[in-house]
Amino acid sequence: MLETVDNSKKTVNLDYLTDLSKGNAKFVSEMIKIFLTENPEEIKALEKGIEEGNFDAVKATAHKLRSTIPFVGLDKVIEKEVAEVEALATEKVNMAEIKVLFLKIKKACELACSELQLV
Amino acid sequence: MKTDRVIPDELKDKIKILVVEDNLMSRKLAAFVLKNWGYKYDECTNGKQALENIKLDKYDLILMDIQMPEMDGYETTRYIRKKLELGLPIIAMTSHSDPGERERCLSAGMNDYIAKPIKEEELYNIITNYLFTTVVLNPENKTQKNSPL
Repeated sequence: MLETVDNSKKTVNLDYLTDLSKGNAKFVSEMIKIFLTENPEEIKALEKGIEEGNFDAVKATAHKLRSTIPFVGLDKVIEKEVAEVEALATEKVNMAEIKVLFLKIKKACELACSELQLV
Repeated sequence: MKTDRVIPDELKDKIKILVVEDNLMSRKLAAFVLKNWGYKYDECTNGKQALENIKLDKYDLILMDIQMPEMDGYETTRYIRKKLELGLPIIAMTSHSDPGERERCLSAGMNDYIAKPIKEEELYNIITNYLFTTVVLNPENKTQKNSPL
């Protein structure tokens, strides 16, 4: 399983949840389950907001995303991008740039979810 | 470093904490550590629900998210301080990227703040220190329905 995979090549990192729960596997897997349900929905909502040019929806979703990505170590990968999307959406400027950032966010989240499916 | 202060178990039994947080993962996480530390708690997902809880039950401390639907953390705190005239400790859970947020928390009437994602030791210390002052050093608070400002 994942133990045999080179950690440096992984997108996700469960250190935060493992440390906080003192290695409580049930809790960690419960949190992963929530992430696997919510994250794809957030990505979809972000995409919809961008397509519709709805800055408020983009801002709200980016904010939500920003609070959940650290739980699986994704902040190390895309925190800057998510924060930038939230900042631009707050200013209601540059949807084109938001779109570019979103593509990177989406890719990282999809990769993270596929890794978490195996945990 | 973890604080040396200790809340005795017999007092802990009487302590109840309210977690106000709309994000499911953040809420579960706070609930998990509170349970581990032996505290009773209630969870709710926005300020309006929090006010309903506060009217029905007595809490010793509130962990308060800022950005929430219906009623945000600032508005909820102002209501608790000004309308309900309650002085219980309210700790904001803030996102560190917004430098103005902490200032606004304090001016809304919150006692303190911690950054999300929460660090266990930081949350432990802040909760223990506030409860030590309000419940251990000042136990007459416990006899009142709620401690006024």
